[in-house]
Amino acid sequence: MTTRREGPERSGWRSRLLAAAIALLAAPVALTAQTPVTDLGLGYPVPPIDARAAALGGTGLGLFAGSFSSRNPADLTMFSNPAIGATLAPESVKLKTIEGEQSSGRSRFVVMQGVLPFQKWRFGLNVNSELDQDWDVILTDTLRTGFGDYPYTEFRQHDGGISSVGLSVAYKMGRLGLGVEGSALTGNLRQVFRRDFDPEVNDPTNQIGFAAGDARWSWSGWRFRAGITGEIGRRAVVSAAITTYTQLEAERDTFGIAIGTQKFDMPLEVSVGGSVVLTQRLLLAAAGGWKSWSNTDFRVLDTESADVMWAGGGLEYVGLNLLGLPVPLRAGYRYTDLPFYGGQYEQLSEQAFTFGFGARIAGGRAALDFGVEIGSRGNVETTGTEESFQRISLSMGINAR
Amino acid sequence: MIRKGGPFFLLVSLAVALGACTEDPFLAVDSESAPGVATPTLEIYLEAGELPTWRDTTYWGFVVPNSASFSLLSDREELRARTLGRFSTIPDSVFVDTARLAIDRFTAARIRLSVDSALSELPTDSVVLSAWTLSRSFDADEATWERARVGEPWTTPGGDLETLLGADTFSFEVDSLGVLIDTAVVRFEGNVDSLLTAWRDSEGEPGFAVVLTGPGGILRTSVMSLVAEAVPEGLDTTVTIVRGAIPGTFIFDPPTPQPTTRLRLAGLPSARYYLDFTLPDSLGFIPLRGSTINRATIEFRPTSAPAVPFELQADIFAQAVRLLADPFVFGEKTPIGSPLGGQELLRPDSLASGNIMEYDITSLVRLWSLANADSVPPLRVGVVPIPENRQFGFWEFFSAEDGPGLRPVVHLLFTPNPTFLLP
Repeated sequence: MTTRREGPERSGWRSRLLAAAIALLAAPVALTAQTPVTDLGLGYPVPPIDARAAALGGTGLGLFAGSFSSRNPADLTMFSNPAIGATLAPESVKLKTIEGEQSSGRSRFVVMQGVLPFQKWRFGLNVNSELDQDWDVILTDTLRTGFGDYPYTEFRQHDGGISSVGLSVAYKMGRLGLGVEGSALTGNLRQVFRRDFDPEVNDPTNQIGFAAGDARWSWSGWRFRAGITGEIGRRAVVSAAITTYTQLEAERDTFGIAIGTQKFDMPLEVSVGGSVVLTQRLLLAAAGGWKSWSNTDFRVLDTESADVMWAGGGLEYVGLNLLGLPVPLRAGYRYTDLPFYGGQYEQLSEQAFTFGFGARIAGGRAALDFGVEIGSRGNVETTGTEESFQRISLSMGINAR
Repeated sequence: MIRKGGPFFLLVSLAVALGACTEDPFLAVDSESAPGVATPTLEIYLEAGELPTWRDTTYWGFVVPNSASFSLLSDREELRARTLGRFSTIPDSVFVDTARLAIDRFTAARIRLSVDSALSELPTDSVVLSAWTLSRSFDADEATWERARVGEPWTTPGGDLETLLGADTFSFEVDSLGVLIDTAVVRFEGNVDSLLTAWRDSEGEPGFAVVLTGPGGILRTSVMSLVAEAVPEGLDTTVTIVRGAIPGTFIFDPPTPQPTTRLRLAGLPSARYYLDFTLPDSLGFIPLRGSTINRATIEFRPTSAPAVPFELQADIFAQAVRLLADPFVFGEKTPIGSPLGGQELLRPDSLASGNIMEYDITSLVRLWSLANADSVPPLRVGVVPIPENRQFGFWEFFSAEDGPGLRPVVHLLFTPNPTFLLP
């Protein structure tokens, strides 16, 4: 039977559409208790550190014997031989919501750092993850219409992020090292929406079509960094860097509702750190910094940004040998503010206990480092987003010292 | 070396395996609290009067009694109907075994009517079926109760009956096996050979009529044929020949009412309704064109049942079809294209209850939505009965000229394009 009785009330379609339109406008970015940190603002800032620095409380500045971290180009002067290292840092995440916890994971290629010494010069190439914008969410609901009731599954995804590709030059002057770096910020973001409707609950032959859309954004910008590092006696290294950016541009490159290019102010960053050999077998490392993310304004009123302070430190013990290989043990703690948060909430912070170990194999020509960070970020009641995480960093280096 | 590096290779494998993990999506509780772009799926009813343009009209004549698949016989006060025809193909020879022999004479003849007992209103009392010759020829496409052809009225409305060929009394009851009688035979009296020879020589002119006399039912016949016994030359036997009435039609009184501003479907002459409308590009500030059209239908509210005897008697189907040209330019000759959706069932009892008829036009509106601004296709739809040649009755629907709440409605379910933003 295909005839039907009267449908829903037909009068006042303008007011009903108006209400729907308001919902349409209000909906684009929902910063609520179901939002992962990668959806906040420009995404989750990924610290450009290797596994050793991760295990030492996320320092990565002025680490004795060099580091494949990418916080200060002057630190390249600690490499005497050509070297290249890369770090992967997958992370398992539990997103806490009002309804409970959900598990997911994020995989990241954090940093790749190469260095080529030439006399007193060091030339470096680095590729870093900067802002992670990946997340997926699925929801199910039922659309109730005059045509019938259709259960649906909705899929929303942000796939992408911002990376940097940088060239750096450092010069070693006795115990001092000076370095500068210029990096191109690049990357893409694909925003996807898809709503698939099941057949009508009481009539499998009654079906409606899906709805979908997507947008692609290209990121571009420049970053400039200058740093200095110096040895204090033979037992300590200190390092400091200052970083500035051009505006970050996002250009939409797909058909759709064009809103042109969007620009975001980027922060000024200052970071300081170092390490001290406390005993023959024990190293202390510490670092901290500040980023002026509060200069970044967003179109969406529901998103805010604030300055970021970060600090961390750890100890490295180098007295253990395993299977004939020296295995340094590391442990630390770190704290960092996160720059982006929902307007009705407080700024998030992240803290983690860190530990790890490493090895120098093949006579020191290869290095493997392993770091674990166990921590949390945010509080669902005060910051709107809360995640606990376990991040495993693995660095592999060749010809490192 | 492998032994020493074993634990580290294990760690490498672990990290790579973790790194290669596909990220599991989070499950959100509801659309509003989930992150990311949300675009609602909106439902809207747009009455004909609310649209930028809407035109609708009924065209009829696609099937006339001469081309219908049935004939009616009735002697009711509210409907009188008679069958007219000509046996224009009576042969002058027949095959006997392997030889064709000339017909010497006809010895008997009868008209056989196949009665559609399922769709007939069988009379409860006995009725008389009689066969008559006509004194005036008729045009099968133009003949009505009042006229033999355009400009030539019958002397007596209902056909100029001349000579009674035969008559019989029928009582449509179940037989001893419980089966309804579905064949009626009227035997010719008098000089059959003279009659059939004259019809053969004149190609059946001027024709014959079958008349039902007696109160009660309406007989719906599907096949009317001449069954004659012929004696071939030189043989002492008879051969049965069967010929259909070509042309065969029926005339009835009162005539089918002319279409009005209401939208008519089916009937005889068969009616369709055509419409042409435009949708707004946006509804307020919500863009409609360019949106994903999840579902689109047009809905028609039925009027009350047509007056007896023209109300739809049985279930029929109807279908919305594309119109390939402007129906307000090409009229009945507007070419029709592919179907727009499935066939919809029209049930007289449901229509009488006021239930709305709904036709799926999603594919048409989807094309409209996706088209470039300089090539927006017109929205032209025809609603046609299926099959078109089997209904005497019709039903009508309110049109754009009726009042608010009665007019046709475009029912849309659409999802505006998501407005993807960066924060």
